Amino acid sequence: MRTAILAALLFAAPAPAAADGADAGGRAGADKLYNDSLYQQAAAAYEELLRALPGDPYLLYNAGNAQFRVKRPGRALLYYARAWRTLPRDADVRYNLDFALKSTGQSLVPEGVPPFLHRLYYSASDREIAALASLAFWALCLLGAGAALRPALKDRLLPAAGASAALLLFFCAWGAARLSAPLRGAAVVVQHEATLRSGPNETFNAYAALPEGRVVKIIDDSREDFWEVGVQKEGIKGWITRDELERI
Amino acid sequence: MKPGKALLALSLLFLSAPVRAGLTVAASVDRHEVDIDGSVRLTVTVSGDTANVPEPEIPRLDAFNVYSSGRSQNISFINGRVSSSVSFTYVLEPRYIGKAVIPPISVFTGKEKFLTRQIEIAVRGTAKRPQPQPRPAPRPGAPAAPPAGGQRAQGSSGGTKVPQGAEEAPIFMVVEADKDSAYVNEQVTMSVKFFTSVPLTSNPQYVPPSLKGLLAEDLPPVRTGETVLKGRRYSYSEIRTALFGLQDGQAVIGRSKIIAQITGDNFLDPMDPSFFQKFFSMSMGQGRAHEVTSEPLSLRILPLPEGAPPGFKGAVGNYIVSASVDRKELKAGEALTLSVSVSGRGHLNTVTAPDLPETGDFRYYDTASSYSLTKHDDIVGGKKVFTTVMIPRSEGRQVIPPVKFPFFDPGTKRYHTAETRPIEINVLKGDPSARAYSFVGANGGGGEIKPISSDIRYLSRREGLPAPARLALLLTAFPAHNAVPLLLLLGALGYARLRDGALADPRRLRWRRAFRAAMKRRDEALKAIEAGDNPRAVGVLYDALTRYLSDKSGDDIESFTLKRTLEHVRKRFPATGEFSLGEIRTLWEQLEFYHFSSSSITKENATDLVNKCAVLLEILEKEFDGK
Repeated sequence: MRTAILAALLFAAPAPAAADGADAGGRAGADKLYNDSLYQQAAAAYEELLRALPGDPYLLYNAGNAQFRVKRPGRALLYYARAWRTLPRDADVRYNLDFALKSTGQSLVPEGVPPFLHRLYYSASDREIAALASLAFWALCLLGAGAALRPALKDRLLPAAGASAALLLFFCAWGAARLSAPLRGAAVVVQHEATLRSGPNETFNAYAALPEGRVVKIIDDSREDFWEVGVQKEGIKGWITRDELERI
Repeated sequence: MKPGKALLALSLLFLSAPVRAGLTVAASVDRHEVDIDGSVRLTVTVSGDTANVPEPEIPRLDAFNVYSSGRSQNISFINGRVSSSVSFTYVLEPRYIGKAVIPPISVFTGKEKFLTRQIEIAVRGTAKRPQPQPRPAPRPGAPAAPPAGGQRAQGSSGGTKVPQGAEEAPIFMVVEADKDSAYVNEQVTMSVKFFTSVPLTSNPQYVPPSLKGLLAEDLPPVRTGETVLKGRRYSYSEIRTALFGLQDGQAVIGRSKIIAQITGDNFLDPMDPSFFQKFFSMSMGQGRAHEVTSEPLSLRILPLPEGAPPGFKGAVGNYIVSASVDRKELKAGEALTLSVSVSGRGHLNTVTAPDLPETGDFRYYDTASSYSLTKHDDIVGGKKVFTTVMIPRSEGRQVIPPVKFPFFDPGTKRYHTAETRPIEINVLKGDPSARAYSFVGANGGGGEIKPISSDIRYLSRREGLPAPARLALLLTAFPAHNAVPLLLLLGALGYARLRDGALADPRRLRWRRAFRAAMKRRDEALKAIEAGDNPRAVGVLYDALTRYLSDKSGDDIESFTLKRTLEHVRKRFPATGEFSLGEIRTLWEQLEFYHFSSSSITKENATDLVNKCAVLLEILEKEFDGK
């Protein structure tokens, strides 16, 4: 009952990332530019809107579309991936992310993985998994407290508390497994071409050129000028200047 | 190393794959037998599934002088995949008679090395070769194929400025450029001439100069001829190279070298101490090695003038452009290939794709390029074709606007803009069930149809966060709130423990709390003394003693007499000593005394009672614990 009341209160709360009137107007303007095929201007307009609402997933999705139209697959991928992180069940976001990945020689669904399994695995966002784990924790604690305070209800409450504990373990395991997802802890090449070097400065040999849009795993981001990254598809790793990458 | 890093490194190791797979390399020659004064055309073809194939590395060939003759590239989209084939052509001029070998030629992708097969060439002597002189130099007088250059040079030195005193030497060389200044990317033709008035036993070896700030393209074949300088008859060979300045400033042509084997005219004295050294240095009948070196040459590379038109990307030369499409009628949603061809004189290596006109009528996809290099009349040029896959956005008659290609012409010293003609195409209504585009080869040939998804999906009209995401955000925004249920659980468990333990046995609870309660009363008595209320302090102390004994014994001591209390304590706690019992008696009696004569109590008396009571309670606490 308490959980239901809490959920109702939260649903009734205003959306924190909802656009206000001015933003809605700006978004309509950006949409119009896009519809008029003025993609460069539309991309700039979406970028401006994103400065105010960096977490709005639908705005990120639209910005990704504009970047894709102006042939900037790196930024398009970046925005699609960020939108997908919040909206993993949104069919349009998933489709466009997959489309952009394929256009750069990559794929959202790893080879050999059934698509339905991939959809199931990504049926909740990381934040939703954390929220579900939190709810299971609340339920476990409250049911345990109820059983302690009301011995007469102990036999009825303890099985429910056990189920809550099992759910808590499941959500924690799911969230932990998602830490190694391909787009987690990853960055994307946003410049026309990124040079992969054998060390963290310009004097080291450049031994590979990564095209724009290539997703790389961040291994070490402790330096300000160079990041150490791994390129899983080719099985290589090296250093790339920070300016050529954007963290997803 | 962190575990995460180790796992990643391990996964990268297992995922290792070559950068370029499917690369093929082949080498071929136009003939396997050649006269000493002829030449062999070597072609190395590198094919792969990438637009940029690596260049072959020609190994050191002692038996030949090697000149790059050009390259041609063909790139195509077949079944949606890019593949290209590049042919690199070289002219080989033999240096010795006999069997010569072209060792395997390698192509290195950065990870893998591909090798061609070894090729054998039989070099024959020429029947027509004039003997014995004066036709020495790189077999001068027997040109491989001297079309224009040869004619221009035949019978004269071609206007070469011979260095002072050099023409008196039997062998010398001259390096010169056709201009001493040029714009960036403008061609400068360098000529290396080798003069000899003595017979050579083999074709000489040419070591090209090092170049600073310049790119080079060989201009084969070698020109040969004869000339008379100061009454002395010379044969000469001329090697030409096209040079292109990389950036404005000073460029340098370094020293070049020619090593020739001339007929030995020195008699070897068997008694000479250096006989064996001289004998073997003669290369067994190849004659005496003679080396000549040129002086360095400087060139001034000029920057391009101001006023470049929009879209100018550094192309220098004289070009024309044309555009074509693979078909002029197609259905909506299908793709067509636009080929923009740039041809003319200039360094096509540096020519990049012209900007395609930005209209809303077409979507452009990636552009690939192929080019073929020509060197007619010693002018580097050729043709570069940029191929772009494009899809019309709407049905009806559509026009591909002119493609503009700005370039700088060093001949007129002005910028020009060449442009293609507009191309009209007819876009028919698309087949709703069709989801495939036809990507045809860049050369216009037919390709297989590859089904791909049509396009990205349209903009989203929604705003903000959906309800589940909002709920998740609120639930996870403050992780500290998870402490609330944990505290509730801990509180409930603590209460339950208390309830099931202490509250179920009140006598035990009273026992445990007796001393603490008595100490609180002692503190209360002290406060009363401080407040000057000594009678109240005495009353509080009386309560402290009697209630302590009640809590410990579980009986109501307050209603007992002193005698009964002592008996009860002795019986209930046998370990209690006589001293403690005596102290209880004394304190009890004093408290009763002051209780009934409260006017006689002083602060000192009250304080003394408090201290006595505290000491007694501590003694009793220890003795009662031991029972």
